[in-house]
Amino acid sequence: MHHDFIDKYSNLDSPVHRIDSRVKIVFFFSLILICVSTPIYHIRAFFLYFLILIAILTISKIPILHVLRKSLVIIPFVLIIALFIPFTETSETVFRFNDSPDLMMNRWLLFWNVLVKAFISIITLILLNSVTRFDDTLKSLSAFRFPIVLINMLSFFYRYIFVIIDEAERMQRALVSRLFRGRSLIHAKVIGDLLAILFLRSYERGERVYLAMCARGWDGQLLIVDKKPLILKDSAALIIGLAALLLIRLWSV
Amino acid sequence: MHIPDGFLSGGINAAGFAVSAGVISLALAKAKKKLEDRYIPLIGVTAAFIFAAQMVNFPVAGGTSGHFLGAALAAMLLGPLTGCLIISIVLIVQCLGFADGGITALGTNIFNMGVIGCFSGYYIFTGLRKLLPKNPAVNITAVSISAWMSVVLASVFCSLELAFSGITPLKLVLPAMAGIHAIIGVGEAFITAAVVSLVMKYRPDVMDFNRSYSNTGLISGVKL
Repeated sequence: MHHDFIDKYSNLDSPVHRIDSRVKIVFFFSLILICVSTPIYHIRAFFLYFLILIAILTISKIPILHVLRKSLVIIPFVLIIALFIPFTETSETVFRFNDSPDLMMNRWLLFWNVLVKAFISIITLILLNSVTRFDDTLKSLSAFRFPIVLINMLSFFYRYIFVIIDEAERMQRALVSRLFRGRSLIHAKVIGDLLAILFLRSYERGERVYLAMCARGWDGQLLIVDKKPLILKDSAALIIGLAALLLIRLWSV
Repeated sequence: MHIPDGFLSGGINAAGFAVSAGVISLALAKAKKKLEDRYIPLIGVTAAFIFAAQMVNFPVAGGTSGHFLGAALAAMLLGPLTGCLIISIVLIVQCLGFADGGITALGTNIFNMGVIGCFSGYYIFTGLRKLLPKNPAVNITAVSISAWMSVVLASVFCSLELAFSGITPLKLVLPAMAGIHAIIGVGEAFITAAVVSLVMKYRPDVMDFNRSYSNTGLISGVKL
């Protein structure tokens, strides 16, 4: 288990990595929202969104192979859902796509619409977690009125996911060293037992963590995220980024 | 079943966010009351368990493999609302950390897998328990059936949303999605049954339906 299996390359040093994580979240989320709301005819706009992503990728020195490899895990599933689209008649769909009526007439156009938007969004999310440390992403969510309790839970998740996965890997290794292959449904019982033990160990770990926290004087107070104001450079980056996105969106109409 | 960005219409995404946000805030309030201040580490660590459990692939018929969803399991172990919270945390991490499921579709994904998955799993199970005679073998059958139903129902809602967004006609996507998940659901049923029966054997006190909320488990005995 590696410490960076969620946010690999987020500890690099580059102008993009140095930007405040709140700015990056707003920018990348806006990019996805604006991209999803762009009508498919504006091919130039999608090309430019992609160009922005490539630029960020280059500046942040993240290996392109890493992004491609991570996106390859997701894209086959997207393709499977998307493949329903071109092979159906428009008259068969009960409801109209909210984009425009003639998009419904052309199933291939709708197919590309969905695929391009999904692809750009996936690359955007992968880029976001490659340039921002995951705990920074979580903490920054509090700036957007995300419930602080949920952020605390997510932080505990992030802190213990490594321990739990290590535990699961040790158990799997023990199974494999006893020549377990897991190739038929009968083995579901074995995997179920493994997961049951893993659950009990996790649950009891949760209880122990709580007791240990109490022993160290925890009084039920939540982790408070300190909100420091944005520095000038970060605000400038945010304004330029959002302006660029809006310009692309409006210009391409 | 993780719907990416760009597939669903804006209205469905907005509705998904509204419903999920409502259920999550209800779950947070309930968890606070039910588990007091130990709920934060407990839910965080249990969510980490579900995430790790989802990485275990199990063989489905014909050489394909599926992975565990865990919504019914989380609901049966810790109650439907807490289960919802746990699945939401897993889905948020999968979205932000792995781009698995889109950010605009996050609310809808939480609705399908968290709300529908947990509530259907839990209430089908408790319903069956009321109807059927109370013995361990019957209990485990009820667990399997409700785990299978929770996966299939989640996929049914997923295909309804795709159809309502005009992506594909219902009569095509519904049988395909429900069919695939009917097979994946068998693995889910086997594993959920195995986990629940083992937990019932060793720590019956942690099971949601076995305890009264005021005085439970390890901690209440130790707490001063």
